[in-house]
Amino acid sequence: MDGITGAELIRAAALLGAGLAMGFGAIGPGIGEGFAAGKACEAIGRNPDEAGLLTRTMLVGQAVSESTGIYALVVALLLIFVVKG
Amino acid sequence: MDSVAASEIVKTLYLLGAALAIGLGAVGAGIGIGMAGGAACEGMGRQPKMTSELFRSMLIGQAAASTPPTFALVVAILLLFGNIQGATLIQGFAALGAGISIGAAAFASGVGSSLPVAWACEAIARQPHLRRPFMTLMLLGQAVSQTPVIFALMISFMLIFLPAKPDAGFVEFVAVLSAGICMGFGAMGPSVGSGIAAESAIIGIRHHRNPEACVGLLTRVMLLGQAVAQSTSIYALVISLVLVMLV
Repeated sequence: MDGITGAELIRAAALLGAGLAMGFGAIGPGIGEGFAAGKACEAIGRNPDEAGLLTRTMLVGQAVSESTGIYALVVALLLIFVVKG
Repeated sequence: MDSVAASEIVKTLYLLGAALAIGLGAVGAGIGIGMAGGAACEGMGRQPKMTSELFRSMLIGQAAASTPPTFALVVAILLLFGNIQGATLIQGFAALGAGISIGAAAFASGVGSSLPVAWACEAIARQPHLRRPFMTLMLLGQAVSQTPVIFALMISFMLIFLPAKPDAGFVEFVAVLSAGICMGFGAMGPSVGSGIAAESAIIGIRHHRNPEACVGLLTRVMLLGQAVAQSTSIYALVISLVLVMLV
């Protein structure tokens, strides 16, 4: 392990960072979007006439929640393909 | 001295991977299946006539919820008893990554796929005539909640059966470990989220004034919402695959 250069260290850190970014970045949107879907189902159960409105609102809310997942994806891709060390 | 130390490090990494796989993987299902059993007991206390019905539903749900730790057990056994004679350091790091991947994913999916079981038991005790739609929603929700574990299992197998690559260096070691971490933790959110969506869909049917009529609608909305929630686990899968392929 004595042959690690600075460039290798940076490259390794970037790859580990990519995994951490996407791995932990996926937790929030996953739970949040499931939560939104669940609340939409409960609301449709109470008020089925508004099913269309509730489904649309659920999708908009999920799309906003998804944005942080996409940030994590973009950062992970940048770390893998742009940071060369 | 040097070569002996390397093979010992590889062995250690394999054992650590096996421990993390089943150690983490068993926690979630242990908690979740217990909660499902508790909910079934409450239902039996409220409706003693429904005991056999509730017992059956509980066991079906619990059996489905114990799929993720079974995957974790398979990976742990492969890591423990697989032939690691002449395994290189990169294969050791890949084994550790495989353990983290399936361990973390099975942890979350154990919880996520148990959530609908508890609520289905509760709902069946209150509205026994709706047993069929409750069970259908429960099993569908569990199936979606376990999709990320299948991804994690795939990544684990890719890492376990990684070729030897004797010229791999420090960067490659970190890349395979990072692939496992990415898929393992990336699977956690979507698993739990899909479970929450399924339990709320069961609650939604109970609130409806004409429950039989809304089963189809609520199943569709639940599946749509879960599909969106799964997208982040697919991102994690893509990043993991890129990290494995880069090596």
